[in-house]
Amino acid sequence: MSSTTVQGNNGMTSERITNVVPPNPVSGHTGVRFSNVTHWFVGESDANLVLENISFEVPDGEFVAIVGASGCGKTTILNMIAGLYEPTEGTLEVSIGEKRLALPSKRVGYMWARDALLPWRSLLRNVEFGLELRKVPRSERRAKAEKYLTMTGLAGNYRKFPAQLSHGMRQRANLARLLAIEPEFLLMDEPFSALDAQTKAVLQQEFSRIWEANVRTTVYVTHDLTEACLLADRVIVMGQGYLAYDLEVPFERPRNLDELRFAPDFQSFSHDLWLKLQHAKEGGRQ
Amino acid sequence: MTTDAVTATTSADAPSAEPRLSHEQRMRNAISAARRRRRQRSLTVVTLQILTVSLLLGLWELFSRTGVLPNANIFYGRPSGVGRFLWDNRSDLWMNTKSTLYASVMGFSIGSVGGVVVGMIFARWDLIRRAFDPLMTALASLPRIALAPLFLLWFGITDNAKIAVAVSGVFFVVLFNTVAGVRQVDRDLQTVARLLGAKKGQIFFKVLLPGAVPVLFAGLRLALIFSTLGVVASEMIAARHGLGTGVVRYGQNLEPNGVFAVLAILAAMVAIFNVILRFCEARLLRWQPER
Repeated sequence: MSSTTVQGNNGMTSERITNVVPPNPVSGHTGVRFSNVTHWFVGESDANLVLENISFEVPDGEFVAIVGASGCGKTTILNMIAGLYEPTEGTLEVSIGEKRLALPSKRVGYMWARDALLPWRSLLRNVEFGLELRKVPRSERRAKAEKYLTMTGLAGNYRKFPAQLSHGMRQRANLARLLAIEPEFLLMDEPFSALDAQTKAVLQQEFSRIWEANVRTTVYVTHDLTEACLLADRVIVMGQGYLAYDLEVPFERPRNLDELRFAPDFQSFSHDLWLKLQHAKEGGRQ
Repeated sequence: MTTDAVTATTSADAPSAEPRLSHEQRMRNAISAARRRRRQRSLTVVTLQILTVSLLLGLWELFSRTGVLPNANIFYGRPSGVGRFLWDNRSDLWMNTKSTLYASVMGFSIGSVGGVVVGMIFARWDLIRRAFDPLMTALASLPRIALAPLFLLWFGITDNAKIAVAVSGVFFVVLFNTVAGVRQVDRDLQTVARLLGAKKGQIFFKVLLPGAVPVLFAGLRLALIFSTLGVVASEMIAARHGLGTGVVRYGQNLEPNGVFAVLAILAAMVAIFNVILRFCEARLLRWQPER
């Protein structure tokens, strides 16, 4: 069933998207700017240095993937952009177009590896949740929730509660919940890491299509190098608390992920990235 | 080619086997089979429960008749005697039951609404909770029945005195369970709600309160017992009507059948309360897996 969905979408998307979206629509503004950011996690009697003197920029509208060993500070970067904590030292600016955002901002959507759906709400009501908080009228939010649930392959499960669903289905609902608020800025923390290979491929393609149809600044944390290369315009490789490498991803958009993932130059690019990640794990940098 | 062959064999086999059922039909069959199994199982349980109770009552009747329990008439009573007592004194018992029932329901309602409201305030503003903490802890650890003389002094020998005792029991249990319920709500759910754009008030009403319901219900179930306990205890101290007065009177008159009759009524009353509460709980907590 899922394979037919992929084919159907691919056929349609390549046609639609080439007309609509310029390949790399960067507006010239800066989406994210980290300037000499250092962050300490302060405990009762000790403190850990999580990020040390980090500086980087993400142009408005760019899709950046951050890869790195666990505990290297990837999620901390996302949490800072989301406004969950402030840097101990240095400054961080987040903007959409020309407008600098006050953090946390409703215009930023943040998706976790953990679904964190509200267990007492049905799937439909979970996906509606963000819209409900924005006081969107009932019929409109219902329509949107249904649209995104269908898009993520959950049509027909509207009335089910999270406890009645598999992990993969809950994670799809999580994606639907994120997309339903139509955020203008995306933060994703290993959104598809818990899914089986097949579902993951389908959702990656689906997500890539949605993103290409509506380009927005995206910071995407993942363990999966293939995923980083498939989805992003640029990959940042992190060592322990620092940025080790910063690479442009040289593949044209729109991308057909199922073809791309088996292309020879893709394979050599991701192999190179893998070597760089190994190097970063040993403390190396560019 | 292969698939064709397979389909052909199955359809050729089909007529000899059972008639083909639609997906819908098979689903309905699966559901009704599961339902049958469940019903069968609960029937067994109910049968066993009835057997246990009858065995106990039977032994009691037997022992009191054969003199294993000496002087059963004035000390132990017997099931048949309890039954006769219930019938003979039905109007008097009914009047007292109504009085106790009224006070328990009132005590439970006032106490739990108060407990939930104050609990919500405490959960919402931690500073207020902390300010009241010593006072609340001290009041909650008092044996509440010791307050009965005060309430009698303030309200006289009225229903209000009984209700006050019940409220003093119910209020604190519900209060503490509301606070505990709100506090145990998964922090990640709150953070996610905040990231989705929830304001403080929205987080409170849409995440913390619904998340507190399971723990709150545990508190309400306890509160039900405290409510009846408070009412009956206060009736035993001083009241015009109520089952508690019956317990004292029949006990002093050496009428064990009367005491047991009152206890049976109380047990039935609490059981009915519990059924109602369970029903509400099942409705509200549909989302919980495997209840």
